[in-house]
Amino acid sequence: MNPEILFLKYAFPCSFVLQQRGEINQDMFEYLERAVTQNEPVPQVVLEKIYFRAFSRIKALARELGQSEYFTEDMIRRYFTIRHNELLDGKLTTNKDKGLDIDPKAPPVLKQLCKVHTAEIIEAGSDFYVVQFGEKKRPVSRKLVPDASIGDKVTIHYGYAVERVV
Amino acid sequence: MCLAIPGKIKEIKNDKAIVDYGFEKREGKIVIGNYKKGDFVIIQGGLVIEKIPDQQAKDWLKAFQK
Repeated sequence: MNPEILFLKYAFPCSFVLQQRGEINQDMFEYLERAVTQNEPVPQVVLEKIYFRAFSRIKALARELGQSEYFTEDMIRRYFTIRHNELLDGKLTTNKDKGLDIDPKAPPVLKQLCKVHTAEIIEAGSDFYVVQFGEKKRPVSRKLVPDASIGDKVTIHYGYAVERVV
Repeated sequence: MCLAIPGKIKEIKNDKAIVDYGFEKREGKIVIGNYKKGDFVIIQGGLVIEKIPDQQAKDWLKAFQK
């Protein structure tokens, strides 16, 4: 999968928030939604501008690992499935070497939603899956992973299944 | 980090919740979970995905408006 497509799959659920916060307008939101559901790459320069917070942290992660290339599938997955969660858990101090800070006042429930989890599909509807991770069940949209079935494992971010885990 | 803004359920019709964000209203389908009028929730991809405890939602909204 090319990095532009993979990155947007993981970052797209944040677009709702960016729109709510007025950082992107409705046209941009719809463009991103179309691109992510049709697997069309959005130019890296556009992604870097919109999701500058995530990029600051991916770059910091790459620096830490001594990698000169930061926009790779491996780095994107490492960031979203590991580093991003560690930051939300407050396990790492967020200084300028780690990228931009996380709001410490944020409600715990929201931090949980924001985390990327690996979950099992236990129910499938026409436009959603119900997934389970640990004791927790959550409905997620199947828009980004339309062809998974019950029993499959997927990564989830907010209200979306992001990619199937093999 | 992109932490979402909760809205308040104004009305529930069958499996649809009408959620008020102050500046707009959105509709979300309830797939699992128990929700009632007045609950603070997060909607994404057309689904009601989570309930936010009242106090947490209120504090967050207050911090956000500043």
